[in-house]
Amino acid sequence: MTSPSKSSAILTVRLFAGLVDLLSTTELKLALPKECTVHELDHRLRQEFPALAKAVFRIAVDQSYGQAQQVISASSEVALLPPVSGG
Amino acid sequence: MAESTTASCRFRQGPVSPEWALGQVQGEDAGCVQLFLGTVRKGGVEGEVLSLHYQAYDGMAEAEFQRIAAEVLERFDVLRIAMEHSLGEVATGGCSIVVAIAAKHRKQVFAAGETFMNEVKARLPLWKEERYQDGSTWIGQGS
Repeated sequence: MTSPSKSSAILTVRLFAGLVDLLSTTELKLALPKECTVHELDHRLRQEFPALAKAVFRIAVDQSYGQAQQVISASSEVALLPPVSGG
Repeated sequence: MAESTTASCRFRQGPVSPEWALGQVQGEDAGCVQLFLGTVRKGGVEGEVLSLHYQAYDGMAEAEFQRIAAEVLERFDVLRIAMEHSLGEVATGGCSIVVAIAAKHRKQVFAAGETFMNEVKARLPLWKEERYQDGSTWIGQGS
């Protein structure tokens, strides 16, 4: 986990299904600039957590699938969704 | 008895059954109701399945259902959609999802049902783990 700086905030990222097994936790904490995009978060997560480097997941923001240029703040509800398999 | 265009869903621990979903969509304005049941099959990815274990992203699962249902209701001119989905453990042979769709005519309901299930499989934030005698495996998209 990166240490927070004056210009950063701590983001909580929820995990599900196989990603919980992969990282042995149900959520991650990550220090980010006050705002970042979904694309930037994806990049940071893969850098900070080597187990995620080649993992397949989509990022959800506030209970919707996130778009690459969508802005995330520390107050956003963020989750990593591995390939779904309902039904 | 329902009488307006609606989309309803609920998630339940363990196996589900058709009564609730049927009750949500039946009405005198409907000329047909399509009922789909998804059941847990024995043959799995890595061996004989004893049960499936379901996990959902609570909150988003309901929200994504509403988005999918709204798209299907608009595109196919059906009257009502209801879905009940399992959480937790469902043994082989048990029912894990029920979808009921009411429409005025059968052509609409057949097309709507296939599209709805395809979208559920691709988008609903819900996961299943196959459990075997000697281990388990999370299943990816399209299963």
